[in-house]
Amino acid sequence: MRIKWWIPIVKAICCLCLVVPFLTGCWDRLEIEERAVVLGVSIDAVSSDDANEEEDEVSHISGSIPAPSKGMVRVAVQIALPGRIPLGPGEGGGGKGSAGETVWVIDVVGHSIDDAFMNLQQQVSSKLFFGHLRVIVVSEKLARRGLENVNDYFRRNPEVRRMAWLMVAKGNAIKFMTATPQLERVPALYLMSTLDEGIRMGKFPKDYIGIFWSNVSKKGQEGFLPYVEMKKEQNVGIIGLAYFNDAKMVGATKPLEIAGYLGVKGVNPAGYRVYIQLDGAQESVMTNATHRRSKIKVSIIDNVPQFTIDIAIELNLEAKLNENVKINDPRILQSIEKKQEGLSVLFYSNLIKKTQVKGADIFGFGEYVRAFKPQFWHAHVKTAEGWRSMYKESKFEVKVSLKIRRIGMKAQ
Amino acid sequence: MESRQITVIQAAAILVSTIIGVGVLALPLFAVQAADSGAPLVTMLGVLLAVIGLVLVTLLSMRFPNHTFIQYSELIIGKSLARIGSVLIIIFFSILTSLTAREFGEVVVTSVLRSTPVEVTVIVMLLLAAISTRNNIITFAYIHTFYFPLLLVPVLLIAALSLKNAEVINLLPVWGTDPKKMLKGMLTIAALFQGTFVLTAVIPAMKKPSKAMKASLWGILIAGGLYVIIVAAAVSVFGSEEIKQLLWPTLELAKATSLPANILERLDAAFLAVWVTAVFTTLFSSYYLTIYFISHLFRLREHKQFSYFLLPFVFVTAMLPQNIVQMYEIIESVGRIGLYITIVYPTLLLFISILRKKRGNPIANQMVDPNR
Amino acid sequence: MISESYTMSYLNYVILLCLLSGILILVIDVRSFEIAGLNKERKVSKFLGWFSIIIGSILMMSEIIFQ
Repeated sequence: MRIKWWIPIVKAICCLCLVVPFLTGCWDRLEIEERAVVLGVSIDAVSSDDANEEEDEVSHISGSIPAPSKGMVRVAVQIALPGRIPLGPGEGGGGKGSAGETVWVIDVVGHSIDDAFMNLQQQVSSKLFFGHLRVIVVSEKLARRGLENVNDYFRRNPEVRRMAWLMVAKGNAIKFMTATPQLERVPALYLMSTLDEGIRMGKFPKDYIGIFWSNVSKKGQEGFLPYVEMKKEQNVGIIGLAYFNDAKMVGATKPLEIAGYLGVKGVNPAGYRVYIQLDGAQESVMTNATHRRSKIKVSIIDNVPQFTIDIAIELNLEAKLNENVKINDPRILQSIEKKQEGLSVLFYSNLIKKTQVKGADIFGFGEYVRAFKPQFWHAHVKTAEGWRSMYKESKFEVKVSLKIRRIGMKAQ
Repeated sequence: MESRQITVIQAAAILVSTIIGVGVLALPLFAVQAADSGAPLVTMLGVLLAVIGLVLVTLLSMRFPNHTFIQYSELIIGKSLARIGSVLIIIFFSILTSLTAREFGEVVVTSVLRSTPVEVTVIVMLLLAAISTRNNIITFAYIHTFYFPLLLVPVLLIAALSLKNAEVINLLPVWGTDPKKMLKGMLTIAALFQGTFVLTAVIPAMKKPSKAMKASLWGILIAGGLYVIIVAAAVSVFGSEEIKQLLWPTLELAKATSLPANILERLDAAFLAVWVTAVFTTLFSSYYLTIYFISHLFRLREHKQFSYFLLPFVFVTAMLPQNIVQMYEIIESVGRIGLYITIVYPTLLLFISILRKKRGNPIANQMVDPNR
Repeated sequence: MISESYTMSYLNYVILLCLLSGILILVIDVRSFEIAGLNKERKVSKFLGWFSIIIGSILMMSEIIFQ
């Protein structure tokens, strides 16, 4: 036993050694009040002359680390104020809680998105945290200049979720950050719910930032984004789809043409209402689509893809403008269906033509060619550019069949 | 001490949890780079190749149910030649261990713990594996069996939930584009299955070595099926072109998937937690195999002294790749070299043993020390 | 190898690991083999343990000298 006296001491030292790691703390410890939770971001294109004066040299220095020459951006962020965000419906906490008090909006300029965020970080004490980023609004000017940098930055950042919304604003994007809509206490969440509810009501396709990225990447499809505008009373309106060539915006649709997109893709539920003029402008009725179905077929005729789009929509009759038309006869309903079918074919074809002019295949017809006619694709198309020019020449045949099922609670 | 106790289910579980590991994250990227929309097909072909390799290895091991790989390779081709082969295998598996640990570290540093030094993540993981490898093969089997359901369920859940966003058209045409690239991709994917070599250490401790084939087929088919499902889910949700833009498509898939009713809006944290276990079991197997083979090469009856001894060396190897791009290049080439070691070499041994009519005792009734 | 990756200063970790593994082998494994009566294993572990400690010490020395 005489040589073993040191064993307890060694054991004690070992135990102490085991405790040491607990004292060091964690590298990535970041308390919730130490992070600046960014809920929304807006990005505007600005002219270099104005911005250069305002900007500090944070990630570049004239001389040694020159800034890129590409146009400059103004980035505004909505940072959640800790403690002010209501956590649940029951939690009044302060009661008044108008939107302006729950978030803090700051804006900076920079040469690129990352540069702008670094300029911002230089001003904000807490670490910017993008894990709860819900909405990114870019101005139309920037979208037309190209979104490569935006896509790259947010794709590379591991915190950003693919379920966030990216949207294009008519005019300045920063307005969407400073707006204070009344329905929701957090403005960014209001913007998000506008679009999320749009999906639920059949007024907007699923187009999260992840889906947009996928569409931009695909060879036979172009991306599109919600096109939004600031309305009265700080409200937000969806005024169409902004469609892209690669990461460059090339045009925008009208609001009703979103319904055209949804119809061609057969997205459910359906939710758009349209006027149908029966003989003369006086006798119009309004119908509401409830269910859509579409079938897209592709065939190659003379080395040009020919698409047949079969759209079937179920309708409810919603309203009529005067009492001249009696809705109590199946034949009348049938005539309304016929009338609307004729109009719809024209409507869908026009929308497709509109995108064809720009070579922006937001419907993904090219994906059908790639998937079902691979030989043709490899011989004649191959790349995204190839499809862009091929799309302009493609032929489309739209067939629409409509069925009015219900007329509401009124008998006539 | 009871010796031969590993059952067929345990053996299959060992295989599954060994195969499913760090490679899951980058798997869709490898598959898509090889075959665009034919990624599920190329994965399936890769699995097929791995199945063939594993079947040959199993046949070989079943010829010598009482011996480990090191021992019967000496019986078949003579001591000096076999020792060269054994040393190569040991080196290969220690490199595999270190690369697994490094890849794990890189993922964690990039996506979750962004300011923790990568060295620390790697050391913690290696230490965990090293401590676990001090047990004998029976405990080894129990640990794998314990984690086995934990790996399967969440991955299947994510694949099932992501179907909500899936588009079948992304999977067409199923045969992909370029046959030459496909062959290369097939090898890359088959290389993800190299952990199956652990079977050569498991069979000598199996209750009924004659049923080893059943275990190996079940194991690799479950793991392979899971891999195909993951690739198919990722491709159908993102499309092949988008996957080429993503370093870890499976992680991105978990990020894009939400539980119904928005209970969890993104599953990447949950997925990473499971994935850590998957990495651990893979690391555990390759580490175990390394020290187990070393101890057999030196005819020792215990292997645990090597578990700590190897740690600094494995760690240094893990730190050798200079950056993440280089790391993936190394992983791919090491994997392809590994195919020679884990498939071609055992196949040669099998044919030579058939030609020379060498085989071990067919019925293994004698007691074998589990620590061997 | 080590000079090449001077930005990643993982040498400290290697030293720590070498010393730690050496000590652990000497303290745990050598003793347990002694009790179990496995003589060859005991000798090997003793060698491995001292080997690790020596390597760790050499690395530590070289770091102290060259920095």
